[in-house]
Amino acid sequence: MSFIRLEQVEKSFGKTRVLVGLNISIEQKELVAIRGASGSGKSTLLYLLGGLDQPTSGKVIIDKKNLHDLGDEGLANYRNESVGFVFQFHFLLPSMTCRDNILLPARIGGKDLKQIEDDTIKLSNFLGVTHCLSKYPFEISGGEQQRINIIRALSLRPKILLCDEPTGNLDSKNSEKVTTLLKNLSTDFGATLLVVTHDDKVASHFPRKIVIEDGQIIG
Amino acid sequence: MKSYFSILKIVLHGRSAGKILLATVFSFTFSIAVILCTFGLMDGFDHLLKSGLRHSSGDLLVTSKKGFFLISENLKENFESIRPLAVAPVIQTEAFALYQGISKGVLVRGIEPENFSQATGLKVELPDDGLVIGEELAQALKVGPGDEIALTFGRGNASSDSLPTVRQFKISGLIKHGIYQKDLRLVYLPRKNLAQILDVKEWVNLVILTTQDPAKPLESLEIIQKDQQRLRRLLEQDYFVRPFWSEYSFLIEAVKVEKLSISLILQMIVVVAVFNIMAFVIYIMEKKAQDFFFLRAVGLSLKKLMRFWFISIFIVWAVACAGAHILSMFFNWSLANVSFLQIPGEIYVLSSLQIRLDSTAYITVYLVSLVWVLIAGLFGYWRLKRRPIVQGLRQEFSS
Repeated sequence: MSFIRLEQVEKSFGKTRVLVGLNISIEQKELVAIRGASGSGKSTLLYLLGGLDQPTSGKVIIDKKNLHDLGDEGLANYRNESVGFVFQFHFLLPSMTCRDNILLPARIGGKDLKQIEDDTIKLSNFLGVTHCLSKYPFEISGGEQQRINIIRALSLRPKILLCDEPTGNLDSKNSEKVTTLLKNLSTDFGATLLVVTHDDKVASHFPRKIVIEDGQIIG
Repeated sequence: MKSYFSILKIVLHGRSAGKILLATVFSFTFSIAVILCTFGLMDGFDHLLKSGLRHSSGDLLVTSKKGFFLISENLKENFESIRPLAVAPVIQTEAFALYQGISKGVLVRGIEPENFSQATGLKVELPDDGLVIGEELAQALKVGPGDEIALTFGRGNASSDSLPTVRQFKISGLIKHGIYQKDLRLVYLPRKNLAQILDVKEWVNLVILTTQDPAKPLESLEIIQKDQQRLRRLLEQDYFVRPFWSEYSFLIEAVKVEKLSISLILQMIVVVAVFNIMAFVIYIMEKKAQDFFFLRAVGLSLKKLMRFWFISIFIVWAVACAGAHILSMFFNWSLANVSFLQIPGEIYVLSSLQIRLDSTAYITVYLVSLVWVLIAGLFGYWRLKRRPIVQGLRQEFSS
């Protein structure tokens, strides 16, 4: 059985059908780009996979578990332990230093911080943002903020890394850098990577592409 | 607990959030303090009035329909039926107190200090030739211990065939009952001296009976009411038997009614404070919505969110209760020590007021405020819960 399986997934908001009868299988550690125009339903698909929303009908099965059966507490644990989110707007909380922002999921999950702090420092060194850890988000550049965001998403070593237009705010040079970084880190961490993008260039970096149009898979 | 403080830090981040929270806690504190002080004043009034009355009247007052009477063996046996702790025969008559051209109508009591003290719990230091007057009377006449005043008596009820009698007395001490009118009107003499002046020998016109320990606060009036009814049945034909509060029963009843009505009105003050808390909740929801939805996205469950929310609400409540307790203590101290808070005794009956609250009153006020604050908390939680995470993220991220 595939690591991620969507069976006849439909999602409607009122009378508007956003996703129509989706069937998708994704293997563990696969690197996948979900491509589509604005309003095609690709972000909605990402939210369903991330346990942020529930399908109107059909099943979202991750690692043999139907997300619908998990309940709020189970879904919260799933989001905390199994999923890392990278949003277009990095959304670092201004009240905390970058270090505290990175450790936030661990704190919410009640995890032992020691190991995570060590990993954070290693990854910060690798991404060249160690000097940012004790700073507040508004004290660092946009590129540095995005890298801190990625460290936070990977801080609990998630099984799935979900990225919603992670390069949406970046120029083409930085887009390529971030895309490569996400691919490499996912491979290193053994995570399944799903990147939602409307950018063909970004999508071209991925061995597998899912193209969505009007809520249906067309390629 | 770390996750609690992480969330708290997020909620309180920003210059205004902390200030608004502080103002909210203050308003809640003051609301509870106002209620505590009002209840405390009414309970204090009730307590002081009752204890003041007991200090002058014991538990039961027996008077004859015919005026003066002798305490016969039969009457003593009737008194014994309610097992009194003390029986104090008293002669009581009206007179005028005169001092350097100032005169006051007074009620002169002829007592035996020992049994009067046992019956009322009021210690009266009264030498054989002494005279003790109320503190307010002393102030009105501008006299003190050692001064001589004149008392002008009628001949009393035993005989009415003579002109008023004027006697000079040296004031041996002052006395305080705690009730303004009593302190302004009562004068104490040894009973035998007054009996001699009035020529009534062993006759008295009042007997004070005590069935409950006067040193302890009275838990309920019912026991005394029962004793009164029993004694009244026995003495019905010739005597009046009145409880100590009969003189001011209208006030005690008024305080009881007032307490109920004011407690309802005061709920409005708590409601206003709760509106402040709700306003703070709405403010936080609006300002921190992005943060909350992001926290939900990275694994904050509704259960954890609810725990955070209600711990915070509970802390606000606990701080407000503690603050209110301190404020009520401060107000009580101010009542006793700050001159402009001293009450005019001629209006409020009592010479001074104090806050007196028992544990039931505290628990009631605190519990009612907890209910209100929990309602506010539920409102906040409901606002957080009702929007799905995705909807919240989409709305907040797009704004």
